[in-house]
Amino acid sequence: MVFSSLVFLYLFFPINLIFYFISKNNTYRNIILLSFSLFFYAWGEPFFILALLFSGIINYSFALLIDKYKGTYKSKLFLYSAVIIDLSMIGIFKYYNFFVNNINFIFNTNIGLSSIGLPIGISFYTFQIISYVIDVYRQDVPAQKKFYKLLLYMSLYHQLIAGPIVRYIDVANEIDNRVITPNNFSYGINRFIIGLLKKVIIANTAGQVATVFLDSNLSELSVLGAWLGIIMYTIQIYFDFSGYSDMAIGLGRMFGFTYKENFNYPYIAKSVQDFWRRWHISLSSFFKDYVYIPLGGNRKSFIRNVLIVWMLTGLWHGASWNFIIWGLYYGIFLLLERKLLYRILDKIPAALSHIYLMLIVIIGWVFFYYIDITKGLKFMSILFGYGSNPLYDIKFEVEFFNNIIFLIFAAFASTPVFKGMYKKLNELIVINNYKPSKMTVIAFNALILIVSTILLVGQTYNPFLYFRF
Amino acid sequence: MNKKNHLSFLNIFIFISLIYLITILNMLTPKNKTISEVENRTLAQKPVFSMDSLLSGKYFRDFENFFADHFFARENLVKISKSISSLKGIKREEEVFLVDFEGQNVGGNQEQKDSKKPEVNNAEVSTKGNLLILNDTVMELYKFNEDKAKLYADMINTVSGTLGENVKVYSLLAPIQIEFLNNEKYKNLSDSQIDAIKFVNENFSDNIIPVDAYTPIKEHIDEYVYFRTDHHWTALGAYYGYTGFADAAGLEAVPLGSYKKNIAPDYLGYISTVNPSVTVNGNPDDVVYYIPPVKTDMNVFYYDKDSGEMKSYNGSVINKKYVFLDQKYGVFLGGDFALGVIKTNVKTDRKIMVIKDSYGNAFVPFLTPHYSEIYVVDPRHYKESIVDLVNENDIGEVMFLNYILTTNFDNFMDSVLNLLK
Repeated sequence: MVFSSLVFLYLFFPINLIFYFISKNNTYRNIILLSFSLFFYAWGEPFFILALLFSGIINYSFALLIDKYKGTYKSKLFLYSAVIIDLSMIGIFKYYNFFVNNINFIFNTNIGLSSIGLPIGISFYTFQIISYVIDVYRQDVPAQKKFYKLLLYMSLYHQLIAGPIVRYIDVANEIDNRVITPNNFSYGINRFIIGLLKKVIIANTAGQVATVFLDSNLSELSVLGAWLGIIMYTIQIYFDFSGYSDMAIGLGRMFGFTYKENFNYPYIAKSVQDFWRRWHISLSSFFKDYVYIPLGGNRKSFIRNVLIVWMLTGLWHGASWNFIIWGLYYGIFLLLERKLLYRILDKIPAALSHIYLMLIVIIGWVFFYYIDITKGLKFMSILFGYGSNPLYDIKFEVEFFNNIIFLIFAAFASTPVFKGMYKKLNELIVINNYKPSKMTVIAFNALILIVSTILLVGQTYNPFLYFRF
Repeated sequence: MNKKNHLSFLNIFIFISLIYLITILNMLTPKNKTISEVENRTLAQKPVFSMDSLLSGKYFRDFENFFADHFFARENLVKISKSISSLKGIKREEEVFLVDFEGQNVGGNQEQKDSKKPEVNNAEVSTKGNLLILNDTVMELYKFNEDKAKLYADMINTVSGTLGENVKVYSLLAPIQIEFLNNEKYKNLSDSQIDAIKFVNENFSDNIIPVDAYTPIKEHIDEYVYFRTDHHWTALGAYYGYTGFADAAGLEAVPLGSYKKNIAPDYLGYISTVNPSVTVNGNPDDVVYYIPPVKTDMNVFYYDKDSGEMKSYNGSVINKKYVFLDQKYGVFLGGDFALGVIKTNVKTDRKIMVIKDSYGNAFVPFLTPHYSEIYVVDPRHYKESIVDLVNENDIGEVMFLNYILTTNFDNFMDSVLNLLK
């Protein structure tokens, strides 16, 4: 199930709210939340819930052992065992086929492929639970004594499927003591609605236009069509992902949890380094704290560490070479910036460094989008006008004019412009100590909920053509 | 309570009320609707629970589809969502959309069709196509494919060769309306059809008589010869095609005035559902149909879905039942089926077989004044030998009547060749 679905908004969520708020007892609420979370997960993956439970039991037990033997070599041993088991799980489910395909290709062998499929959210919950055992080992947080509480942390449906990667240390307290205030709940609604807007109104719309160009016959694609397609994808992926994080943060607030921010207007960054401090923050900080710094950070084997981290970052996004290339692409730019470009980037006008960053990001999404690398390179050559593709065609013209207002709106929405406007309004219009613009937020929430619902229903319009030729 | 709390409560109140209001309205919505006429598909039904479907995740997936398909005020909300979507862009002189779609090349007929999918047939093929929606008109686009056009011509040559020189073979390829668009810019999205028709004709053996439907349609293009919401020609367009046939076959075309004219209004054709723009939906077509001046009697043969046996019923050349149904093009012959045998009271020995796609349906009624028997074969459904059919019934003429896009469907060619065994 996803948050931006009718069945979530108008069945799962309202039922969950009732059960959750009929009692103030924290244990009761934890059990309700756990049950709904497991059901939420089982909705898409009834079978894979076993993998989730298995992972929960292993890490729960090992964390207790790590805690028990803290300070001794045994503790380290249990930590390594837990992490190895976790990585093996994700390795088997997510990377087995990729690995075998490459082995078969290189050694011309014929090892069979697995047909198990990928448990949804495994990349997120595995990383969460790894952060937990490491933090217990580092004695940053005590091990959780109650299994169901650890399982609740792991499976909390707000962030189970698409992040953010919440660390146990950040919610450990809230599992036991949560205070839900009207202001918090209200803030949660605001964030949830923003997320819904990003996902349903912006990302889905951009996605429809993007596929028109990115999935079209590349030999007929025009140069401007290619640019429009990849820019729409750039919009789609940011609003999709950050919208989902907003909804997770919003839901968390409604139920008394505070998750850290995961995005901070990444498209206004002025360098690659800046971008990755604003994009999927919970992932980059995971790699920084649990891989990059333990490897030696920028003190020892700096270049090696950067390349390892970025190869892994790429691989985390998907089990194929294009993601590895996409990760290393960023790694190389980070190194370039550190060693050479920083002098230039500091001096040139902000607009130029912004264009520099956006070009890198947009080109990056080409690698990200096309799993078939040769197709990605073909697309890239069209973007830069190599080959015989026309500059301009009617398809581009039609889609451009049919989406121009949306495009401008989405571009502004990727910046803090609207937020700034809202703040200005708050400051400017004050009547008797009362800020009427706050009322607009409430109306805005209702409007966006209704519009999103209509659009979600609209997306179920699925005409099937029995063509009678 | 301070002001901030006040606003928070209001915010919570409105949000929660909306969520529960819609939830309750949705629960009260009846879930017994089975078909969406607009979308031409069955709605998802409440899944049947089983341990297998639960464990595979199928149960929940099906439930989610069921939930969405029966959502409160769904069809109205879909319409509103289309209006919201139109805010994305700016209005220019022309309202233009380009749509890629996937569909299935099947014949369809309400008589045999149960509420589910039309019967599976070897000619059923998933087809990708492109549509241009220009203001109130939806048009298919045509891409010339030399290999397949050649295959089409060869297929007719093979049929003619098998049937022998005593059987006259005609070929009529009907153009589609994008060819006659005044607006050069959009017309150029589609390849030249006159060149394609010429190419096919040039590849015919000497025995094949090409029929020129193109010229008479072009001469009358300002009349209502194509639907705006459907990919077919109108009966009037088919009539002009027929005048071309009369020239080729040495017949004297019966004037349209001899036919009784009727109208079935408010027709939204198949391709209008792909992207139901407000402009297209607000301007439905009229299906004008003409009742032949001769007596006709038609037997329709089809294969039973369960047993596969051939069965028949009494049909009619103009099937008025369709006037009141959504798919009003079915008024012509009553849709597509394996074989239709039309007998007329015309005193002549001439008999003809028409091997056709659905463009043939609007055309065949105009043949009735010239033939005593007409055999309408739809190769997407028919499975018997046409050689036997021709020989046993002493049929002297065979016409291939398809629209230009059929020259791109090699499955169609295969199905025809399968009928030669």
